[in-house]
Amino acid sequence: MFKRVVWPVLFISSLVLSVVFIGGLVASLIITSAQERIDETPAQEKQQTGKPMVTQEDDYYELLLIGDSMAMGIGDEFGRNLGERYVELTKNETDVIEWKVVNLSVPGSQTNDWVRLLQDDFYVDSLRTADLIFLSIGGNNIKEIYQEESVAGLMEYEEALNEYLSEIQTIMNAINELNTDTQVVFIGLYNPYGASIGEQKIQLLLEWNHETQLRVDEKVNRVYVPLYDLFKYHQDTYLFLDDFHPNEEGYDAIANRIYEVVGKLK
Amino acid sequence: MIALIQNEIFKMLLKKKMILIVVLLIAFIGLFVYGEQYVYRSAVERFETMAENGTFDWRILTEQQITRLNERLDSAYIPESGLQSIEIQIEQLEYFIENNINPITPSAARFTVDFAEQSLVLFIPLLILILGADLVSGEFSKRTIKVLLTRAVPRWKILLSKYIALLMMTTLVLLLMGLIATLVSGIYFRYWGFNEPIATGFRLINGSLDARNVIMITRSQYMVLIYALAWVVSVVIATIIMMVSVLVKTTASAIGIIMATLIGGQFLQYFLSEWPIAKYFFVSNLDLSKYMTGSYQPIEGMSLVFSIGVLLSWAAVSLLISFIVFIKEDVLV
Repeated sequence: MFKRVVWPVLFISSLVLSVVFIGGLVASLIITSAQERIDETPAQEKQQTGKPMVTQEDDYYELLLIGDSMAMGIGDEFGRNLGERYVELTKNETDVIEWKVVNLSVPGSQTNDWVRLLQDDFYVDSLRTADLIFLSIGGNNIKEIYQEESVAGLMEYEEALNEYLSEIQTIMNAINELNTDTQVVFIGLYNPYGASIGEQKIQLLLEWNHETQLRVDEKVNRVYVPLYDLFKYHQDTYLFLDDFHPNEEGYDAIANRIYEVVGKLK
Repeated sequence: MIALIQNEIFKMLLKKKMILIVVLLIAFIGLFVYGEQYVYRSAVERFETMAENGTFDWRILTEQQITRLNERLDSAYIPESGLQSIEIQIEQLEYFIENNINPITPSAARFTVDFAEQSLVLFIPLLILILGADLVSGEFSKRTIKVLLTRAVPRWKILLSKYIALLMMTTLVLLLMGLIATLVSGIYFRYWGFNEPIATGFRLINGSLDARNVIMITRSQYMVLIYALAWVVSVVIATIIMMVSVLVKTTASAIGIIMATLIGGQFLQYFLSEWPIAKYFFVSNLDLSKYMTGSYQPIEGMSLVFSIGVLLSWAAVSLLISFIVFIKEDVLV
């Protein structure tokens, strides 16, 4: 029995399998490490995207604000945006550096707008020269869903969150590709509606913020600045008349927090 | 020579080890299959309670995903290296829509591959340990070594026949694992999914994962690739087990040494990125399947070629040591 049946079966099957496995091994080796296609284009691109300006040669640093109405400074009675407030704060330092604040934000914009805008030469050039970038985005993405009432809103939320996250990733990658030296400050979302919107929606906002932070803080030169806690007990004092945007005090509080986080930037 | 190998195989079969291995495989695969189905069901339930009309409409979700991916393709801001993998994601999703399959449905092909990937580092080596731990040490502890060596056969032939027998059985263990995993999961899930497309072919270029050369293959092809890599791992482990079995005289210590090395070696993984020498330890290189997927953290200097190279060097050295020791050794019984 053993010699007639079992042995030939064992012998042949293990032999055939070994051949198949060796074939598979060779295939996997080829797949993962065969010819490395070296394209000419990326090298050229790299030369182009290399930082055109060496900051130290300029006599000022550039602070760029991009994003939605919060980056724009809407709600502030004096029309001073976060960038200007931050620069104010750095003036207390011993060796003061000159800042040039450039505000390119678009009120009402969402992440998909910025995916598009960042292809524009004008924005690309500004990104390349920026030393510090304040990015405030996502508020308008989540606002739409927040106004939905039904349970279907939950499905939509998942959708919107995933879309938002992939777009955030695209925006971050674009910034990183254009300018590896810049420091990006991502300004988080606060809840302007207070407890009235219900626990569930607050949970969603917290998840939103958390997921954002996970993506943003991936790299050393990006930082997520949370605002949720800052606004939680200051609904009355930090919000503008529209009960949505921050007011002057609110912006001051945000600028303070940013300054606490990034300092004056070496 | 053939007769010697036959004899060794016969001895292994007599010890009923294959039955033990098959029982272990069925038990674990059964558990995991049940778990996978359970997780899938609760995921569907979660979707259903969230949806308004109480049904889980994956089709709409998938179509939306495709539209979004297409939009991303149009964006000039996607780095060139990312284009290929987006296109493949789209193709994958379209396959599910065309074939009316929910993308999260557990399939036999996927399960079989996942099972091999998960067991590559510990479970497969332990199964081979069952087979090979007493390969030579067993002859000493049972005092049969004297009988074996007094035959008019050179010692190297005896060890070689043992080695070949072990490799044959190892190959069969992998076959059994693949067959049992496919059959049990296929029967339970009632969905085979051999033709599902999957992306592979990620390359390490300058230390980061490059998706430009990603290709799409079917699950069944992928299965062959992963099992081939599992086979390489198994062959190397079998060789090392034989060496230990030659070096120590009792089966218990052989098992102890191998287990301690395998489990202790896992801890070394933590030093991989910091401590270059850790890369050359064989346990650090067991997880070959990770190189086939796009979701691993690249470690500088480690690639599929590197890992296979390290593994084969360990096997070659072990083989050499086993033969030298076995031939030179004084056997006093």
